[in-house]
Amino acid sequence: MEINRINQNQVDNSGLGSLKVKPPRRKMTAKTKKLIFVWGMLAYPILQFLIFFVLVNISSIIMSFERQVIGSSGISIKTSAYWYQKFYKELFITKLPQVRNAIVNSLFVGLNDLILVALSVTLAYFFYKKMPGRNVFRIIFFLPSIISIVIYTMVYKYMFNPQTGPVSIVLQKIFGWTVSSTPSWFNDYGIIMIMVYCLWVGTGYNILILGGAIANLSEEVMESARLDGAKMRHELFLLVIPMIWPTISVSILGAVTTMFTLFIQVELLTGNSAPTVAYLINNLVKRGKVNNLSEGAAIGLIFTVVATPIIVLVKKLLDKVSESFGF
Amino acid sequence: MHGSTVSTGKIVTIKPKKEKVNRSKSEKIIIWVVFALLAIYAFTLIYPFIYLIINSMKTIGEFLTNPMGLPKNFTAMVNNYSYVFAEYPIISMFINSVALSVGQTVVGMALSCIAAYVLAKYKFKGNGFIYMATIIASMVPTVGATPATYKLMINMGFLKGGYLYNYLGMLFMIGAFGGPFLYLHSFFKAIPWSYGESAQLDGASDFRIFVQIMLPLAANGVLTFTIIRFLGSWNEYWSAYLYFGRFETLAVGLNRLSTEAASFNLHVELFAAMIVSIIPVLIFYAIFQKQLMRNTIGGGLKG
Repeated sequence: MEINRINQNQVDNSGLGSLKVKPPRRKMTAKTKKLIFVWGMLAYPILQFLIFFVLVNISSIIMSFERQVIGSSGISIKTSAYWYQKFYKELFITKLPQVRNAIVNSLFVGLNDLILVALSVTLAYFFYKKMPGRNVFRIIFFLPSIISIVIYTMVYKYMFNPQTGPVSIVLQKIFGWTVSSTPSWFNDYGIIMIMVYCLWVGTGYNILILGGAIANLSEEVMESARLDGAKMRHELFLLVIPMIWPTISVSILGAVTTMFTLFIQVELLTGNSAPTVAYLINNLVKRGKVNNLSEGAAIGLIFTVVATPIIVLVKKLLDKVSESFGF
Repeated sequence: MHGSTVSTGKIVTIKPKKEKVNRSKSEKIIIWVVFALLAIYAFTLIYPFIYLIINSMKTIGEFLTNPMGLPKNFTAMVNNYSYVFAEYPIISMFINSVALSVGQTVVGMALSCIAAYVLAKYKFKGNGFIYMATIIASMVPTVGATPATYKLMINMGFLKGGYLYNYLGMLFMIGAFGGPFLYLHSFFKAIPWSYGESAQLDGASDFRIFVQIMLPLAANGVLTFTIIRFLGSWNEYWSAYLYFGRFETLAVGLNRLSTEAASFNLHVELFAAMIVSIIPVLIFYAIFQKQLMRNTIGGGLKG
């Protein structure tokens, strides 16, 4: 073996007559192997994250200060304090009514989602009682989660069509409306229609998720409370809600986040007649021009700055409530 | 185990006797009122599809004059459904939806599993930092990210090329740290390392331990998220419209067709197209319904 390692060409000419011996190849240690595995596996996910989260967010900030200007030398992109001043001023003074309308609608959406959580908790409590037909309900309630939102929004719109929609037909019979006097639901009551839609498709799924959490509760605790004479309202408010608080708090946090992100329902149901903040941004992207993108990025940046501390604050509050319930 | 007693070496399980709880009359009424409400609510969720099916079997005249009635014969049904396959690119929309959903699900789940496993099971410098970064990222609302993402996709040329380039762009957008990552992280964390350790002593590599030991142990959770991921991609509208719009998926195509239907009075044909597009999802749901229910609703998603 030793002989094999001697490189015949490496005979020392120094006159000392010694031979240079190639050091034995070092075996890769387990630690090195582990590190290669870890970073090899994480390389792509981290690179993707850096591009689509870090780079995108940095680029978002830069974009929000950009403006396309057509000058004598052609089109150029300007980024300067001047544009910052002009652009943001333009956005919040010239377009203020539009932005204000979107903010109000977004707040309605957030409030609606909180109502949805409260309604779902209450219904989930009753659902958890051995209710007849529970398995059938489960299958049906899950449908909006598996069928495309495009289909659900389309059927919802058809239900309210003044000429052929069953809901409109029933209301026409009750109130004596004609087809022409029936309200144009999605134009006249846009945000209400969005809120009703969100309650319609969201309640079932929330009942199932919260009902699942209730079903996991200790039956002994519930039994003993009942034997001690606890009424249903005591059971709900003093036992169930505190015990499933982690699940409820996830739903509340989701509701607050939705306030800033809901737009696809708006896009598919009402469009410009009831815009939310997220709809404004995405609609600007849809138009695809450079200035629209910059404007979208500017609105987005402002609302990210507003939304992030609100979400963190709500999370902290929810955690505090969790602590008080002993979680 | 409640009520277990050991006698002559045999474990006998005795179910604890349940004491019957008597509900007051008012409570019983409340439960039945809620039952009635839930029944009406459930009906509203399925009625629109009954309406679609019935009206997809009518002529446009029948639909406009008698939308709540039953179809007179089946000729219109045959015509409407034939029209869907002959005139609408429903097959290509279906193929695009399958290709995109399968690709995004495979890439998304593979990346999430890899990242979740490595961060849950290996101690190394930077582990805590990466994990914290993913949590912070999940808390930052992505309100303003769309314009920059759109610009990035344009700059990278993903929106200009052919099908393959657009498709790769859609896959490139799928990351490891969103969606199921945190759940998978807790799944892997809960699996004892002793399984991996014995395999390591037998000479198994880290990759082999991941693929052949840890992944099968987390299979239940992984399968559930795979189903959820697939359904999410199948039904996804906005990113498919924005970044893959030239190659319409069912969701994007149906939305375009609904605009056309309103302009050209093609409502009944649209209903037929909607029914056709729902059928694969319902078959999928029928197959995986138990798995979905058990792991999402039965509390299996607890992190």
